[in-house]
Amino acid sequence: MIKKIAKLANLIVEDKKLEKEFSSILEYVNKLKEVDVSGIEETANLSPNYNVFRKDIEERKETKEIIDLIPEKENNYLRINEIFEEND
Amino acid sequence: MKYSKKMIDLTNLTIKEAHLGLKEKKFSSVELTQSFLDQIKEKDKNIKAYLTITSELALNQAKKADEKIKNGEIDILTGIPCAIKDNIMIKGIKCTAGSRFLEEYISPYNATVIEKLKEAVILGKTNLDEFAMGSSCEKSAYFPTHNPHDLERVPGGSSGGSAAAVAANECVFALGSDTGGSIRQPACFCGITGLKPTYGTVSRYGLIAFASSLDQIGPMTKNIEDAEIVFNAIKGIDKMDSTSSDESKEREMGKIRIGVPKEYFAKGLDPNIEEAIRKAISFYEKQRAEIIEISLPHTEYALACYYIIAPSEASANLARFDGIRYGKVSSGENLLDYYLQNRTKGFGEEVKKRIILGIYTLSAGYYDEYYKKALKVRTLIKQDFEKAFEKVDAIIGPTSPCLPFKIGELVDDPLAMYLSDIYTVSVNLAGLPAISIPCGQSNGLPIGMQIIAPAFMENNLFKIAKIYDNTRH
Repeated sequence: MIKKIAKLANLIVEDKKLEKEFSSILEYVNKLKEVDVSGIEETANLSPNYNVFRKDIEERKETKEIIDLIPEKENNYLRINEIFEEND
Repeated sequence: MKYSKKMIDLTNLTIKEAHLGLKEKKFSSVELTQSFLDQIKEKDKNIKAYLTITSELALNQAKKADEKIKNGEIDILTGIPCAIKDNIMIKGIKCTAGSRFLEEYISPYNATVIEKLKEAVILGKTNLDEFAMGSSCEKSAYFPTHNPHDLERVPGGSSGGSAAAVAANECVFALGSDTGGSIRQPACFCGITGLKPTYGTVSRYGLIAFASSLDQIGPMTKNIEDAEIVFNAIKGIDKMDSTSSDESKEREMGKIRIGVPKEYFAKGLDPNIEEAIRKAISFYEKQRAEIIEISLPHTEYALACYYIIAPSEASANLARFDGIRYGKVSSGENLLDYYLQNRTKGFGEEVKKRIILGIYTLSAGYYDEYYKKALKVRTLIKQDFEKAFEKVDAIIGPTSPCLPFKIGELVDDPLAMYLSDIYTVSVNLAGLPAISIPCGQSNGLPIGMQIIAPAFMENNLFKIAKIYDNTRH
């Protein structure tokens, strides 16, 4: 099971220890099954704000610093592996 | 007359004391900064609180501060040397978040808290568990930090580097971040003061995200007054963090009412810690506070709730790490392989475990059973506090159920490690402010007391905590 979930996370997991720890944590969080939550709303966020908007204009000034961090680039473009294979 | 190092140890000062010294020109900020850099050079080879030491930046900032002081422009934090947890960005300075993924990452901009601390002097970036996931600083991809009270023991985590730096007088104060106790538990383990502010009061812009609905930056200091000074400097609404807020409330307190939750003194609490906390509660009673036993009935579910919500949010926040825009640690045969190789090599085991847990609890078929359920239990935990705060002004209990453990003692037992955050996680789930202050020792190891207040009532929290301020006396 863990390999399938790891794949969804773009991770390779071959470590048995991690699998064992994952199962013990999952078992622990199953504790929540005992709690009766009928009629209870969800709390996803505690911010008192709702829908904070800003003008759709470019405000950031650190473009150069951000581009400098790109490990493989060509003329300010990201360079990545091919996505489409030939003959497809 | 100038203070010489022999006459007074400059590294031992609180913010207020250092400020007075600078103001009265007993020493300069450059002298103060140099004493800390010397102290770090001498002590940090054993403590290992710092990942990066920013001597050049520090001395430049100190020189500027001295210019200002000469012109009579001095604020409370002008020229005061501090340390910053290495998941908070300082422009032009490396920011690793304790991860191999960010070994070469240079922050392109300042976090809002760094803009707000621009009068202060930054000595360096402190160690943490990778991406702030951990309770011992042992999960840093670089090295573990040692507790200044006993070098064989952990300083707590994840802000263990910041806590150890303050405790070892390697800075006047530090910033940490707290997602489930990461400021308060290390403050407790290192015998210092640590404040987790109300969710939203301090901007998270420029903090490398772990779990966005829980993360909060806060001060780690030598006493409560310093925590208040730093909190007032870094708080405030910020257009770069749409969850930030300017809200502040204060409650009139006649006779202070202190709630003691029976669930916080249940099985699993070290008896010496219990004794120290009970003694502190009696102290409050002698100071004419009213002590009320309360119940927070969903306490036992808080940790399980946290270990669904925090990993769920982390799995989404850490999806951006792909080695393409920054942080390349490997290559790949094709794009998918590139992702897989980079993420597998870049993240440590604890981070991978939490990402996988989060992906699982958010996946189709398990979303309702785990994630949605946890959000509902979160509401119940929040309501427990709201009900309690109808009757009391603050809640007091231990910060951690255990004393600082030995390095390596719990690394193979993740659940035992997670349990050291049992009293702190509910505060993040409910978004409340809480402070950990020193409360005696057991066999030379610090004990911490946690005081929790209603949302946005930091002022009440400071007042109540100061009644029991024995940090420096």
